[in-house]
Amino acid sequence: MSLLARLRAGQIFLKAYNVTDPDHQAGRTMRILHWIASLALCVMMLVVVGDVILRAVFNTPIQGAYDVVSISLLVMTVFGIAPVVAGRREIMIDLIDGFVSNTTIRVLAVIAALTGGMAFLFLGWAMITPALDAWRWGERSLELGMPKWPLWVVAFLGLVGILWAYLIQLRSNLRGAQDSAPGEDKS
Amino acid sequence: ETLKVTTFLPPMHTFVKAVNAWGEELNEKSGGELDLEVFPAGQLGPPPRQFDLVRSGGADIAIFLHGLTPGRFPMTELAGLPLTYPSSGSESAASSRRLTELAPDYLAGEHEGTHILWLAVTPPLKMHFTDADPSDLGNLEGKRIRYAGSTWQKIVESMGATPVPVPPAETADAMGKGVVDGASFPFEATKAFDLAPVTEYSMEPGLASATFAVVMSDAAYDRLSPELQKLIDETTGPDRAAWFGALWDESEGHGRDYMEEAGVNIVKLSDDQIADLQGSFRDIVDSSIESVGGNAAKFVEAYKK
Amino acid sequence: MSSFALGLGGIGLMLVMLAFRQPVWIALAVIGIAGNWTLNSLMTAKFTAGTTLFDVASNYNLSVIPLFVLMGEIASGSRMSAELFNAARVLLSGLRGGLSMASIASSGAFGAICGSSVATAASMTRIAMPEMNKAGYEPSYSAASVAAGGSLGILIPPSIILVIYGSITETSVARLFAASMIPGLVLLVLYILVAIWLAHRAGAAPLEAGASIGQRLSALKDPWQFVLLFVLTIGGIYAGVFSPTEAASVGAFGAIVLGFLKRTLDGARLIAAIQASVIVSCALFMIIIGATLFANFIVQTRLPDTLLQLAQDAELNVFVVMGLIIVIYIVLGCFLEGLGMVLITVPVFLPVVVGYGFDPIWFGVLVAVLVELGLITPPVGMNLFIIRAQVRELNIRQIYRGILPFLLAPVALIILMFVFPQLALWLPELFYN
Ligand code: NA
Ligand code: NA
Repeated sequence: MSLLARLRAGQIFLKAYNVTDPDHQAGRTMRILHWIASLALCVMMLVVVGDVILRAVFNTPIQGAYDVVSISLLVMTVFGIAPVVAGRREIMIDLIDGFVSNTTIRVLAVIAALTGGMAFLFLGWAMITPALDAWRWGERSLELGMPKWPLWVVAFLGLVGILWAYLIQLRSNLRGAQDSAPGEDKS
Repeated sequence: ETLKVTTFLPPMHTFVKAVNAWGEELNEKSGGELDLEVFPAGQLGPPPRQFDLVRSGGADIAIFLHGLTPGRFPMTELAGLPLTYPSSGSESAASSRRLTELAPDYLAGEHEGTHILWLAVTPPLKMHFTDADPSDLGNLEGKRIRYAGSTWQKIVESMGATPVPVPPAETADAMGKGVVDGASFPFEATKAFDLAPVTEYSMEPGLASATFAVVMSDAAYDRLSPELQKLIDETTGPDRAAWFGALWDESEGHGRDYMEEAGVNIVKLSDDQIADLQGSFRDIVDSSIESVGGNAAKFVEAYKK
Repeated sequence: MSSFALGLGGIGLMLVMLAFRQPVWIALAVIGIAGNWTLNSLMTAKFTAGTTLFDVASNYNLSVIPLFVLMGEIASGSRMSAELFNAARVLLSGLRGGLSMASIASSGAFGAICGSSVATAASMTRIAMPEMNKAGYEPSYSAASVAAGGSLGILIPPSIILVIYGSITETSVARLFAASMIPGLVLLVLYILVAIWLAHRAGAAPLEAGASIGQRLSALKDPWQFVLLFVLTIGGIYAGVFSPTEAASVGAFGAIVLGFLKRTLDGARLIAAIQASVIVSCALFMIIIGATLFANFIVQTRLPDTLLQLAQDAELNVFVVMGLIIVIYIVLGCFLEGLGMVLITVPVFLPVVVGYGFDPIWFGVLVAVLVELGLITPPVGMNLFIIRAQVRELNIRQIYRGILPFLLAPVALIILMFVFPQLALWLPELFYN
C-alpha cells in the first residue's frame, strides 16, 4: 500500500484521539496502539481463512488456529481500548443533555474520566494475582500448550496505554472540547 | 451456615444432582445447621476459573475439571493417561476411590489453599465413528477425530488419525456434516449431545478418562465449628468418591443402552488389539510421567496398583 | 440488608450513573465490583474483576463481533452495500418504507450466517444506515429498523444464545436450531409489519415513484457479487466447510477480495475500515466486560430465585407463574446483556418450567426471543449501543424513541408461542422423530 494511504489513515484518526499535533508523543502512542490492535484483527481474520482453506483443500488444518484467534482478540482488545478512551468513544446515555448546562456536562465528563481511570487502575491491581498464578503454576493454552503468562504481560502493557489514554481524555474534558466533534469519523 | 458451591456443569448433570444429595445429607445430619447453595453452569465464573474462584473466597466449594487448566494440575492429570487404571477396575467407582485415597500424599500440593473433599475419575471415554469400523484399527488411518485435551490429542495421533478440536455441543453437527469422522466421549454424554443419530460404530473399551475434583477452601473449612468440620470429613473422602463413581457408572450404562437401542454397533476390541494399543501408547505414558518429574512415577504405580 | 434489596439498590444506582452521563461500561463495572465486594469480600471482588477483562478479551466466541463489524465497514466503504440497497430501493419502489423492509429482511438473511445479534446489527448498521439516510428516512426510524432486524441474529440459526442454552440444559443444539427457525421468520414478518405501519406516519419514510418491471429486473444485476458472498457463506456453514464462528472471518475476507476485484476498495479505505472496526468493537467489548461484572453481582443476589419462590409459595396458577417469569425476563433484559441473562435465569427457571410440563426446546426458543427483546429495550440494549457507536450523529434519545414501537413485535411473538407452541415444536419433530 502506498505511503499516501498510510498517512491518510493515520491523519484521519489523529483527530479522533483528541490530539491535534501529529508529532505529539501522546498522539504517536495512541496511533501505535491503534495500529497494533488493527494488526491483531487482520491476523485473526487471516489465520481463520488460512485454516479453512488448508482444511478444505489439503485436509491439513493449521494447528493452534483457535489459540491464535483468542490471543489476537486479546491483543486487539487491550490495545484498542486506549484509542477508544482517548477519543471519548465510550458509549454513554445522553438523555439529560437538553436539561442541563454545558458546565454540568463538563463536570460529569471529568468525573467519568476519573472514575474510568480508577476503574482500570483497580482492574490492573486485581490482575496481578491471577497473572502471578498463571506464571507460578505454569498455566498453558488449550490447543498449543503455550505458557499463558506472556499474555498477561501483554494485558498489562495494554493497561498502561489505557491509563495514558484516560489522562488524554481528562485533559480534553478539562479543556471542554465538545463530544462527537463532527468530521472526525471517517465516513 | 450456607456453603456456596460453584461449578461449570449444567444444573441437571449427574454430578450436580449428587452434590445436592450430599447437601441434603449434611443438612439432615447437622440438624439444619449446614446447607449447600449450588451455582451451576458457570454462573459465578467461567469454567477454567472454578478452582481459583474458591481460593479467592468467591465460593466455598468448587466442582471442576482439571483438564480445563492445562499445566495447573500436572500430577492429577496423569490419572487420565491412556489405558492406565487401578487393578481393581477401570470403572469410575474403583478409579475415583483410588485417586481420592492417593490425594493427601500426592495431590494436595497442586490443590493448595483447599481441602480435597473427593476426586472423581470419569468412566473411560469411548470412541464413536460415523462410518469407520474399528474392529480393524487400520480403518482409523487418516480419519478426523474430535478430541479435547492434550492426552487425547496424542492418543488420536498415535492411532494414525488427525485430531480436530470441536466444542462438545457442536460435535454431533460436525459428525453429521462429515467435518469429523469420529469423536471421543463417555457413553454417559452421548444422549445430551445427540450422538446416536450420527454414530455407526462405538468402540470398547474406553481409552482414557478425565478427572474432576470437589474442593473446599481452607478459609471456609476453618470457619466451621469442629462438629461441622467432622461432619464434612465423615461424609467425604474415598467412600464418597466410590459412591459417586458408582452413580457415574450407572449413567454410563444408561448411555450405552441408549446408543445400543438407537442401533449403534458397539465393537469390542480383542485382548491382542488392546495389548497392541498399550504398546503404541507407551511413549505417551512414559513421556508424560517424565515431564511431570518428581514422584510422578511412584504416583502412577500407586494408582495402577 | 438482604441480598435481594442489595440487588435492587444496585440496579437503581446503576440507573442513576447512566442518567448522569457516565459511560455504560463504567456504570455496569463499578456497580458490579462494589456489589460483589459488599456481598463477599474485597478479595472476591478483586478476583472476579482481575480475571474478567482477560477472559472476555480472549473469548474465542466473541471474535465474531470485530470480524462482522469489519465486514460491514468494508461493504460500506467499498460501495457494495450502496449497490445492494439501490437494488432494494428500485425493487420495492412504490412501497412506503421499502428500504426499512429491505434492511430488516437483509438482517434476517445475515442472521443465517451470524450467530450473534450484536454482530448482525453491527454489520447491518454500516450496510443499511447510510443508504436510508440518503433516501431521506427519519434517522430514529432507520436506526430502529437496524436494531430490531439485527436482533434476529440469535433467533434465526445459527445462534450463540441457543448453543449456550443447549449446554446449560443439556438439550440438543440441532433441535433448538430447528425449533427457532419458524419463530425467527414470524418475527421477521412482524418487524416488517411494524415498519410498514410506522412508514405511513408522516415523515418517517418518503415515498418513491414505482419503477417499471424492466427497471426492477435490471437493478438486480449490480449487487449480485455481494449476494453471492452471502449465499456462499451460508452454503459453507451448512455444508460444514467452516463453523459459524469462522464464517465471520470468511465473510470479512470475502468482502475485501470482492472490493479489490471491483476496484471500489483501495489500501487507504481498507486501513480506515480496519481501524474503525477496532474502535467500534473495543467500545462494545468495554460494555461486555462491565456487563459480565454486573451479571456476576446480580446472580449472587438471587433476584429471580426470590421472586419465583414468592410466586410458587402463593400457589399461583401455571400461566400466572409463566407470565411472571416472562415479566422477570423483560425487566432483567432492560439492564443485562444477553449472555448474562441466560446464565442468571435459565438454571433457576428451567426446572420450574419443565415441571409445569412445558417442552425445554420450546422454552429455549422463548428464552431466545426474550433475550432478543432485551437487546433492544432501553436503557441497556446492546443493539442500540452498537448503532450509537457507529453513527455518531445520532443521539441515544433518538434511538430509544425509534425502537419503542418495534418492541411490540417480539411481545406479539411470545403470545403466539403460547397459543401455538407448534411454531417451535413442529420442525424439530419433523426432522428428528
Ligand atoms: Na443467526
Ligand atoms: Na435491554
